[in-house]
Amino acid sequence: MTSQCLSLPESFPGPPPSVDCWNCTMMKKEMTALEVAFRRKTKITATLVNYIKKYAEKLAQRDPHYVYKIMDFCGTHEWTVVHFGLRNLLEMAGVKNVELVAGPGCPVCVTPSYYLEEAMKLAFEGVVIYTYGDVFRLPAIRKVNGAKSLAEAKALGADIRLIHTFLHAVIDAKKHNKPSLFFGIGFETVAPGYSETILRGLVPPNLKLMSLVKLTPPAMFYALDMVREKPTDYPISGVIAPGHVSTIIGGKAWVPVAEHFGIPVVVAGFEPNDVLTAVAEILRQIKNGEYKVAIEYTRAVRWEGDLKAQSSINTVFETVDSAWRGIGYIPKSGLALRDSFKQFDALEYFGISELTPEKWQYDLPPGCRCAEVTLGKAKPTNCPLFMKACTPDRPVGPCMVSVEGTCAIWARFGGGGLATEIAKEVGLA
Amino acid sequence: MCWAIPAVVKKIEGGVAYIDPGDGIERPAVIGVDEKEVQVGDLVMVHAGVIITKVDLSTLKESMEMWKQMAIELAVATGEDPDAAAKVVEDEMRRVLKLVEEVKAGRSDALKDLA
Repeated sequence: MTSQCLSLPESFPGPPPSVDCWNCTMMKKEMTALEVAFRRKTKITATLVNYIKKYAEKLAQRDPHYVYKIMDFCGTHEWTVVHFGLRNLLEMAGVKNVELVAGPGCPVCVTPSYYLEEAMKLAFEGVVIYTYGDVFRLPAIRKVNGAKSLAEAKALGADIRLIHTFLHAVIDAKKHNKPSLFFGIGFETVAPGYSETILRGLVPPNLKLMSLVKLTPPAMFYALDMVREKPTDYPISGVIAPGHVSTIIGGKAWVPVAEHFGIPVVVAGFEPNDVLTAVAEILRQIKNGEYKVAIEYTRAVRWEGDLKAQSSINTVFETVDSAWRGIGYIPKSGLALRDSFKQFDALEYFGISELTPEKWQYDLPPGCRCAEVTLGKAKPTNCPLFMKACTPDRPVGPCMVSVEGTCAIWARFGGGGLATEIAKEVGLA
Repeated sequence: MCWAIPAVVKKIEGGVAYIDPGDGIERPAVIGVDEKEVQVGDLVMVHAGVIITKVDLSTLKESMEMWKQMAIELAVATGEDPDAAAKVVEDEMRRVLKLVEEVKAGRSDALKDLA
């Protein structure tokens, strides 16, 4: 099973002393870089906004009341939309019949509380828990030994270590050799990181992976079905598909979504111009009666994705029905370690029973509308807790925690932000 | 779950790549994609310590073409000069392509302007 047995160099850096995703220097740099890069291309932005406006007007001639809802699947796309004020930008340009809706693209938001609670129980039994920074403050629905999150468990003495990458956990666990669990959330983007590290024989015997990896196309199907459930609502007319997830799974993975729902899907990058190009392309396709998968993010995404990564994931993991927090089971929407890799499986090793549809219970706090926000059925501002009981400092629901949670993004960057400034630059205000 | 940063591959050792996101500090990353395709000097996107794709900078010209076509189509529809509209896009993209050349030539700090 192990193709090559490799060892990591001695000088390999261990986990950083702390991880704060909202104040992470790497992320801040990326945010600033995106902004600088964008400001250099605002003339293209102006062209794109005018293009969108033209097509929106043409579509309005067909039915002046119809609202074209476009779902941005990914939390990072939602960040781009909110941070750069793209909704406001379109509104200022007079585009009234296009609405950008945030989708389920936040893995922290959809990880069932059950697994978080099981990890906390182990933490109090002396197991070292490794996790990404944005899981740290994720609130569970039930307290474990008085702790509601891994952050609180740490404050109460549990050994919770924050890492940027699985490799950090690998090297650190090797050093102390204590029983350890990696709280492995994520989408298809992180999956090859887990599978390759396992296949290369880098994972020490004391480190076990709790695979909480979710798959994006099944979630997209589910979200689109749910939005269409209510006949009074306008259905989703187009989808902006996640750019980096698609580097792995390819543009081809979105064909079933486009064909089943008869709507255009555009795989987009994360600059504001990328997102606006996707909106423009979706409107163009709708106007022309097309529903194709188009790749706008050609600098990173290929039609077939990365076959090596797909094969690596498929070697180590199998597709299983998976529970999404506040939502329930979505068929074939998660990855579990295959039987031949069970020696790496935290559930198996620590005797945690797998969640089942019978055992699953609604796991959001009272009043929290995170599930609806995740499925694009509600906006954060529709939630009675938003910025009242639930704030970034004291998150109640899971959508208020991660850098990719829609509520957290709206709370930090909402209210127009850069929009007015950018509108001036592109000649709208 | 799409936060990723652009970085330059500085070296590959023992199946692990060491990447520089533009600050001169090398960091280890798992090569999540086909190892044969990732070489020292490549620009890659890194997500949670995993290289998820090699950035193909030559496709920036494709994006430019697409935006140019949009600008031309728009100009024609609104009775403006299509050549002038195309030139606006070209001028903006020329600056980006210049940065790309600098990154290729080894100036990793140019990354911060490129995103």
